[in-house]
Amino acid sequence: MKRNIWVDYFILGEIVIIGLAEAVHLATILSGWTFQRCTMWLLGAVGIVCVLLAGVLLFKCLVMAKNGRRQEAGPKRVLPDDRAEWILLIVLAMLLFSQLLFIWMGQGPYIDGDMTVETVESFLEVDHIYQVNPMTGQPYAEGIPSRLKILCLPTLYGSLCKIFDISPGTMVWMIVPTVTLLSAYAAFYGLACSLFPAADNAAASSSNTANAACGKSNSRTINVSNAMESVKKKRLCFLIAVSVLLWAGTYFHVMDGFQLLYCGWKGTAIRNGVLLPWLMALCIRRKWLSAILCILAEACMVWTLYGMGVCLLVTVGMAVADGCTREHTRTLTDSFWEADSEECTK
Amino acid sequence: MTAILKNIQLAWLGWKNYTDDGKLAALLLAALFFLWYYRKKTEKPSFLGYTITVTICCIFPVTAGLLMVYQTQFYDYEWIWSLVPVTAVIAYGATFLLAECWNNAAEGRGDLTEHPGGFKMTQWRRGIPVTVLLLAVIVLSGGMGRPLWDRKGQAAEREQAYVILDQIMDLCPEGEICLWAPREIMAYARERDGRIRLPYGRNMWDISLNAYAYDAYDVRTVAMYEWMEQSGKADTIGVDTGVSVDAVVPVDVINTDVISTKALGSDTVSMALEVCIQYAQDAGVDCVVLPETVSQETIQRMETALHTEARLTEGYWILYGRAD
Repeated sequence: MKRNIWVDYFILGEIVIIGLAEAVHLATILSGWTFQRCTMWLLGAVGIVCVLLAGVLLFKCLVMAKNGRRQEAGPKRVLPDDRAEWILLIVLAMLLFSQLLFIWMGQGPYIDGDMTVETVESFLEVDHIYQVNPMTGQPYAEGIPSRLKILCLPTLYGSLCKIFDISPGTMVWMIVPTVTLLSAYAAFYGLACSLFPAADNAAASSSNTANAACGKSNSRTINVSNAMESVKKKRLCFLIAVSVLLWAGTYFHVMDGFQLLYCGWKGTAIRNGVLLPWLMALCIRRKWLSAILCILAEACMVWTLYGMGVCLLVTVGMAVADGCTREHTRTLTDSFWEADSEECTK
Repeated sequence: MTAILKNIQLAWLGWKNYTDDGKLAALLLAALFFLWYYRKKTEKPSFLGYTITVTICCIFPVTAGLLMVYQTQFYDYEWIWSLVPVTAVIAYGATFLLAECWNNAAEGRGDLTEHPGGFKMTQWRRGIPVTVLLLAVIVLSGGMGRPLWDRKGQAAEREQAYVILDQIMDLCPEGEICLWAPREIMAYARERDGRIRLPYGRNMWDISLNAYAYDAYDVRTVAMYEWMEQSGKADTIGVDTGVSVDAVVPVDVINTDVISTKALGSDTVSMALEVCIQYAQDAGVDCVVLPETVSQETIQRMETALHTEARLTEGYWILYGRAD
């Protein structure tokens, strides 16, 4: 499955925003701009990207209209018509809602070793970036490590606070973790799509149908439809399992559940909860170019000290694993398609 | 060589620590065994191969030590587990198992990927027990939202601190305030209002925060912290025994910076009040908050030094006055 899905565009959009925030953040540090100016630049940059995106979409629509292309697929089913699928969907929605409630109505975040809110408060109060020590509000005597200074998340959060006139506490401890949690589900859905690809199952079903009764198109269509339903249920089941595991994983500060439910604003939480599952999905689909974006996004968000970060190692590891198993996969896929086409030829 | 051995030792201790609180690591291994058994059906050998390799590398102390070197040894051992998609693999294994159990055996013969119509409601006799069992295993392996710190206590402490901080800011609505207060107030001051400045911050007691700046506190600031933390406790002792923290500081050592309070039967370090006030004024402190338990004499001396009157609110004495 090489084609992009909505999850790819969604997370890509978030990475673009992080990239813009990083660019503006660096420009502010180097030029000594005020935070007000930094916010205006970020707003302008995001606005320009949105306009460009709208232009591209409009152009695409116009081209499609001009060529008279229509969607080949029939009417898209929005709501599931299978009882099991409904049950899975409701269970997932309930679990997700319980986690959102946990974040919104929780008794407080885990702030040990973290000073994001203080940093954002300092930016807003002093109207400059890293002019005072967030812990004391006093000017820095010796300064801060440069690798830490270039991380853009406090600037992004501060800008959002300024734009929407929200207190740093609300933004950092409630709104951002909510977005992170939803993004994490999107990323895990992307991974589910890669682990349970629709094309494979539909093709598998077609193959079985072909083996059974080649030429009976009605039966084939029904089986393809069944296969799609089965895949959807597996994806939903995967997301439910992820959701339960997030609840279960709140016992230790490096677990995905803990990161997402107690400190979703941290760069490490975004990396572990959003970037890494999406990166896995990309690597399974061999979209290596997009994987580079994850590596860069991590460098903008997480203090890797002077190391290269987790995303790079995961990408290399997955590439090596893919290289080692590619022949096996190709053999499987080739034999599968050969069998399918042979049966159909008969 | 010593560094490598130390890393290996840390990796071993880290693994024990990683598996102490919860058992998701055990569940991960179980999921990997299960997926390995069904590896021909999963058709994602790269994902499985990568996870198995990295999991072994994270458990085996030598390779774990090397991974810790890769993450520049700044982060602790447990962070190398970010490389392992723990949640994804367990969920993948669970999905396979459930799909197997809810599938029509007669139709699918347990062959999950090649047969449509998994999760058939008709298979509830087999599906429901396995689902419940799996859920129980996951629940027993994890925390299910149980925090590893006193979350409620912290929330209550924060709420009380906010009330006091708001009152303090009402004293000087237009300007900045430099606050010196007990730890439970100072911890939340900067997150509540950026206008509040502090002589020392949360990084005084949360050491991990010191990594974020090259700045370090001088002896005077540390002494202020020590005095403030001891003041309430010492005075409480004083109330019971008739001995106050000020009483154990002889007048002739007022100019001495640090005095060991052996008289209190502890190794804690206390400061002469006037010396501390001098340090605070040098640091620009214009608002002092003291716990209700401090002696009346301490309050009076503090009032004299700061040229202000103390007022009691929410269990704390607030003294606000611009330093001369």
